[in-house]
Amino acid sequence: MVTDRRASWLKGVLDLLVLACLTGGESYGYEIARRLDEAGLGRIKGGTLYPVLNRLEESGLLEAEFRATERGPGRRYYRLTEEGRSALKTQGDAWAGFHHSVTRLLEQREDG
Amino acid sequence: MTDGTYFDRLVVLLRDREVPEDRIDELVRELTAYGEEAGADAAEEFGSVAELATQLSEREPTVTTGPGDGQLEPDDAAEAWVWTADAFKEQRLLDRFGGQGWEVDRLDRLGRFVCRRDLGHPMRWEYRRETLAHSGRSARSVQLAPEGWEQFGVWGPFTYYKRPGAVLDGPAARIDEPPAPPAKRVHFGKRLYAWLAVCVLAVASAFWSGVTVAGIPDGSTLAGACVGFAVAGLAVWLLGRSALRKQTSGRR
Repeated sequence: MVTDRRASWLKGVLDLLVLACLTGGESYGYEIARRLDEAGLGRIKGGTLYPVLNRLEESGLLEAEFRATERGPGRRYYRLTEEGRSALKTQGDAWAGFHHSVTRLLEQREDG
Repeated sequence: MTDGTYFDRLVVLLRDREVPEDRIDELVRELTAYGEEAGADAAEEFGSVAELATQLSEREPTVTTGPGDGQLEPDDAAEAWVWTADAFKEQRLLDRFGGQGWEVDRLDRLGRFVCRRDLGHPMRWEYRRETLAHSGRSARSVQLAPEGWEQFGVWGPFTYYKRPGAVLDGPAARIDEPPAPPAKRVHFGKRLYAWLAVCVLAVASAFWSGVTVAGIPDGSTLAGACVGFAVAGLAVWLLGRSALRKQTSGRR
């Protein structure tokens, strides 16, 4: 049985990707999930996304505001805090370093 | 715990998890050698012996995924619970159990609600049921999606949607002390039985009307009519079940 590793990779980096989705401005849950899907990362279920959003909000990396809409009960909009931007920079750099190490090792294996 | 005790305990736990003996020998030899080479205490190097045994006894070495497209599922650490209710009661019960942190994963072939609840960070779930024709279902799902509603099942004319309470309430949707899974799994109310009784009476009266209009038949004709009704009922039930299977299997 071929095990799809993408889910476990995504699990480790989803918080970072959510932060990255908000660099251009505020957004809400469904829109964030849609952007992740369009980026080729697959459809993220609400049961996966919202715990991440909650954790990021509670740790001060995101702030959220509920706004009523003309139709429906309203939406909760998320935006990056300064702390969130800083974390995204730091963790983004860390991910890039990790990615580089993995890629270098895999290429070395292919060369061998 | 000394290294010897650690590995003895590991052997016991792996046996409890039905790992084959030759695999246990191999693992313990390998881990012992690794620990010696690393020069570290086994507990320090490998962590909790119980967690290590669990990881080593997993059939698949990595996180399993959904339908093979890399779709990320909610956290694996969850408890499961299955329940069912009649159409008159289910919306109220979905609200109640959603408030206790139960997320309906899908409807099974019997139309039961197959639920999970995150063990680490349970949160409230909201549900809605819409009466939709097949042709209008996709459009309605697209319409509801921006509000966080996600379709999880179809049963007859009903389409079911769910969304995390966090869509509106954020971290406040988290449940600090979720109650134990309810003991009662079947919720059929008096209205269902009343409705069934009305249906049975309607069928019986229609049958009796047919009999009296056509004249009282002899015993063999009456018996034949009863068998005909039973066969027709069975055929309808089989057709219905087959259609239902198509609907539920398509959602996985």
